[in-house]
Amino acid sequence: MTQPVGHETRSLNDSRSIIGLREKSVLALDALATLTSQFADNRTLSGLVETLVYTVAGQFSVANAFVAVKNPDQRFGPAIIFGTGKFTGNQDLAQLDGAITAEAVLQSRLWPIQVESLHDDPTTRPLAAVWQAGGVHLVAPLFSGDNLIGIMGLGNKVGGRSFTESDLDLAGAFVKTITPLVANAFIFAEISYLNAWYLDILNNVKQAVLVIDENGVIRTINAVGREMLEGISPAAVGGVSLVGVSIRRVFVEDVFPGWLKPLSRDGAWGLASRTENLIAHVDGSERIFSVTIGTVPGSTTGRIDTIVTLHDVTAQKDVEQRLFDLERYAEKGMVASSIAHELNNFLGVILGGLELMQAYVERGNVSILPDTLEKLKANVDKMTRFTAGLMDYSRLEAKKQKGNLNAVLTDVMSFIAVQKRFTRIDVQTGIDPDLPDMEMDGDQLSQLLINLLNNAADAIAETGRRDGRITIITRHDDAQVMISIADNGVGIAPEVEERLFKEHLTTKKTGHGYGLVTCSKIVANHQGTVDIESAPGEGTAFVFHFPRQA
Amino acid sequence: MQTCSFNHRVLHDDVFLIDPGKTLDNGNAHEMVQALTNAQTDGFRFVILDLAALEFLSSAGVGSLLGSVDLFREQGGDLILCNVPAPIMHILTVLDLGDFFTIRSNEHEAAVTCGRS
Repeated sequence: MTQPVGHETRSLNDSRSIIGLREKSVLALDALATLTSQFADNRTLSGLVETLVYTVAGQFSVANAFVAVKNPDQRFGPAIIFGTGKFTGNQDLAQLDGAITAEAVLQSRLWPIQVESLHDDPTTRPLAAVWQAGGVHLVAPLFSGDNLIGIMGLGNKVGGRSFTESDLDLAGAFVKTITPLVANAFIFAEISYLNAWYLDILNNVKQAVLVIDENGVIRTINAVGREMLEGISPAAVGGVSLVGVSIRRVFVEDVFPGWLKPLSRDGAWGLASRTENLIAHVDGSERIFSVTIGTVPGSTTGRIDTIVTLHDVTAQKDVEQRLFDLERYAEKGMVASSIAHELNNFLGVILGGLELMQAYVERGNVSILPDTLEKLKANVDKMTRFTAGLMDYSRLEAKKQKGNLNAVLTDVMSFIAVQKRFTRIDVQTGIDPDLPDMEMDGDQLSQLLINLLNNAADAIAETGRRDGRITIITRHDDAQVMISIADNGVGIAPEVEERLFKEHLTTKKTGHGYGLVTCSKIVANHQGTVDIESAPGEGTAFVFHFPRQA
Repeated sequence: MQTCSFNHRVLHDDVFLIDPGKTLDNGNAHEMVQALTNAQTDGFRFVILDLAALEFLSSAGVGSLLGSVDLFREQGGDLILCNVPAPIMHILTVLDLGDFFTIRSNEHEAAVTCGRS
């Protein structure tokens, strides 16, 4: 792989030369061993390149040498170039772009290459002109496989001596040995960069992010995650890294009740991600976390990891509760006003009737009194029914007993089956046959389902579509019973979705907005939660989660 | 004057002496280059390297010296080695550098070469 360029060739019969050559080879081997050792201790590409230049200069007795290592893209900035002697800071000599253009030509030559021989080829001629003008006598491309990753250039030997054939043999062996070191350093730098880049992204995410492996060990956690768990989890104290720690030590049961099951892979629902609110007990108070759990299929790692994001929504929930309380007070005021109005209507009729009866009595016309009394009684009956209806409406206390949500759903399905608004809608159910019983107020849950099914039917009617579809699915896990109601109606705008359940909000022309507030009360009565997914024009899905033991 | 991480002395206005210690190799080659560059920048035409304590000189160590020699000589100065131990001298000979460096037997002779005594 070498070619002679020197004018001085040592005689093989010169024993002094042979001894000198052997010693030089020993020195070269020692230099290579030192470089390898240095790379093992400190894998910075720039440090390796700098030492490489000094070593090459010393080994081949040149005052001027350079090494340039290319970057495959601009993520690390320009190529890493280091020169010594007159080549120091001479960027022109390390024209890697030109070398890359001539990569095929350089590949075909024997290494190291005499610069003047590169004038023969038009591809390498401009490069050779720059090198020759700069005093570069020999170049050695660094090929990793078929890829050019750098160039090493040497000036003349000091004292005006020429390179010998043995020098070139040694240089060829030297280059072959150091190229893998440079390639490894480059790969290591790239991995380090990518690792730092991903960590930067993770650390700038506003939510806590954890990656958990199949054995339940935390593989990655971002800065927000560390801050969030610091002081909450007994495993996260004193700023220790949680990487490599089992989630069993981090999410201990007395602080994070019921967390381990959903966070562990056997609690995952296939590859789909899911979000639920989980509670942590911190310093005697409850904190609510919105937890999204998904899977990383791991096509590159060969394993399936779980990715978890945590968002402390305690403050948000507090605000929502305060808003709800305020709305409830406002609702009471509005309802009281309506009641007063209605009762005044009834009372007005009754008062008028009494005045009429008084006039009849004064005139001695008592025969008409029974009819009037009947009318008064009818109005009192109306008032009774009205107040009875009010009591139904405002009843907040649930009368819970053990029951099955499937049975409630079956009742509701028989109720809606005969209603005209559902006749053109395909209502499908997916019943979990093993759905466990739960503590429930069946009447309230019926009201909840009917209300949402009516809303779904109205939402589909608004689209005018003929393929309206409502899908109701029940399912369960160890801790909860769930029911989802999905439709392909008009959907809910995001700004409306955020306010849903919190206000007397309606998007219907004839709606009053009490329906979902009532639903919200029913869900709260069952210590449940609701997730809403909706896309305007595509439909809406409500997923209710109820604890099995409320 | 800029810093020098090796033991050093100013012998005269334009003569600077550096003692690299026991080792000159990959670990401190860049410091030697920096020290020689700083000496030039500070106006010293001559640098004397006192190698009396030097026990190990690697290829990188040699390379760290080679790049500066011509730069000193172009300024009418030189990089002079003195008190060179025999094993170190042998390495320089193997690398065909025995007659490239200006080598003197001791500090006094090196100073004389610099035009000082």
